[in-house]
Amino acid sequence: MTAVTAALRYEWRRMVTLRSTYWLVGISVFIAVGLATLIGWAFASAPEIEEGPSFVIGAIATQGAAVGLAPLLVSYVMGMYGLFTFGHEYRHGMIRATLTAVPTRGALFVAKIVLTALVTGVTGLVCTALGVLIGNAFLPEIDAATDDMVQVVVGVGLYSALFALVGLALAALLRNQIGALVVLLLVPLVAELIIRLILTVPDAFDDIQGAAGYLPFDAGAQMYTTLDLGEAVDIFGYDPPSAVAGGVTFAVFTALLLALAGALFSRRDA
Amino acid sequence: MATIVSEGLSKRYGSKQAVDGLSFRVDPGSVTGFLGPNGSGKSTTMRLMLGLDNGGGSTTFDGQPFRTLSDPARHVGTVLDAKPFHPTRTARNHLRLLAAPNRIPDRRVDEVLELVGLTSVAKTKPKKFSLGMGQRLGIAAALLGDPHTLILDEPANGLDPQGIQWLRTLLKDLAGHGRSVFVSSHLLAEMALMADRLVVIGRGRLIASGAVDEFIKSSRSSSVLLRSPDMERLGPVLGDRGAYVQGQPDGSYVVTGMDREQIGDVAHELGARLHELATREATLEEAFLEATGMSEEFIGHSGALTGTPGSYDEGVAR
Repeated sequence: MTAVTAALRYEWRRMVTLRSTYWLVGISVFIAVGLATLIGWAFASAPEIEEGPSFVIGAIATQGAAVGLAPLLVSYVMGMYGLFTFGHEYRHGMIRATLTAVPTRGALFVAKIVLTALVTGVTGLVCTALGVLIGNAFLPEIDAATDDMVQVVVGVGLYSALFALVGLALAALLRNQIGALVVLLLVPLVAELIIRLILTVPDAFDDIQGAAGYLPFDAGAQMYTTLDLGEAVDIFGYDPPSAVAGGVTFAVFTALLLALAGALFSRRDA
Repeated sequence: MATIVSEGLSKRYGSKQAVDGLSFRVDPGSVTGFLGPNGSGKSTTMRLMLGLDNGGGSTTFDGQPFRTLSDPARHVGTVLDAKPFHPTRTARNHLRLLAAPNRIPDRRVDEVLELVGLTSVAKTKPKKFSLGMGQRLGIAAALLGDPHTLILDEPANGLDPQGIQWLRTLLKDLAGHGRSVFVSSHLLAEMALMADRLVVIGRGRLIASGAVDEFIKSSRSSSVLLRSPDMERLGPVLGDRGAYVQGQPDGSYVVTGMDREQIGDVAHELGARLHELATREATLEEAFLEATGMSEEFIGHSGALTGTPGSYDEGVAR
């Protein structure tokens, strides 16, 4: 336990003495506040939406992600944060210095996971909460104090944290920041779409078509998705998992990746 | 106490045995130089000692492996890489970072910055540091926890002559206060001035370990200068008894394989007159080259360029 607290002290100071921490959290807040203001203002100037369901506010707070119209921007920024947690160690040859200051590798790995999850989770949560407040300020007639809005705010927090941990695991596995970044962007934005497309070709894979809803990033997105507008035009026809099932899917995927990264990290030469 | 005991260290990269059953110990109160040709496994050995590389064997610091030390910086200080820091984290913050897990106060950070002469650039981002400044920052990090043991891989790299002299004084001083200093360097002249003891390796194996004086004395390059008018009688007898006698242009002789006392005794026995009898000790460089000559990994063939085209002489390098 003392090893873990020592590692946490290290990771905390590593985080607060790094410019990129402030940049990434700052960019997240800037995106959330800036885009929510922009989208909120656009909605407010369309008079027919003055009253309506709260998912409109969710869409404003997440730049469309909560209604299935866009990738969740803030999670990608937080993914970078997770990626840097290990990427910097290898990019700048810090890893040996780090492991002489904190020689217990398991403790270091745990400390990195804990602090990354905390920072990115809280950032995602606060950004979305700010977005909800801003959206509600533009559309005061809409009741934003709904369960759906709680789900959006908490969901974005959890999704951002898991997304960042995937970035952390990838950087630890590949020991290469650029390579990890490419994978982190390609899998959710390209690979999952292609796999889903193939799985849902009509009559081709009917037996396993349901699996298309359990692609990890897509499944995880159900945590903050309260209404899928994409679903309305979906010709493929499979039921997406519930928020909990989707969240568990993404969490299991992340945990497996972390376990693999952790096992290799403790066995490899630094 | 600050004893380092390494036993059976080994490391294999693919088919190449980088370190091969290496055992040695380093005792407190001395600067122990770690010598070996390029690629002989010095850096790998140091990483093995600290548990950074995984391989065979074990190393203990006062009986404990590095990985099990709590607050390791208070026990063992290290310099491993030339520039092991994030380019935009200030020098002071870099040290505060390494201090944090080891519960070392900021006051000590400022102390070591002062000690290595980096106070004026404490708030500067080290991406602009020269190799020498980077090395000083590395040394500062090693000294953070006022450790009883220092493991330094080429710490003099990039230092200017003043810096090297400062480092030498510092390390001798630290050893003088009962600490263990284990330091690798390829600068043999520097090592001769600094080290009390040596661990010499070649191709990952131990070649010699012990006091520097002993190592130099054991060298066949140590010789005796001899001048005698009775050389016709003395020379053959010395040769018969195992010495190698070489005549010099100035009429003197250089004898190897026999020390001054032995030669004196033989001369006395034969009633030969001696006009000069002096020991000429090998330099550390000569002793090192002789000890590692057969184990060098990358040998430069100095004669290869002067040979006739098409007739490569295998024996040129040795």
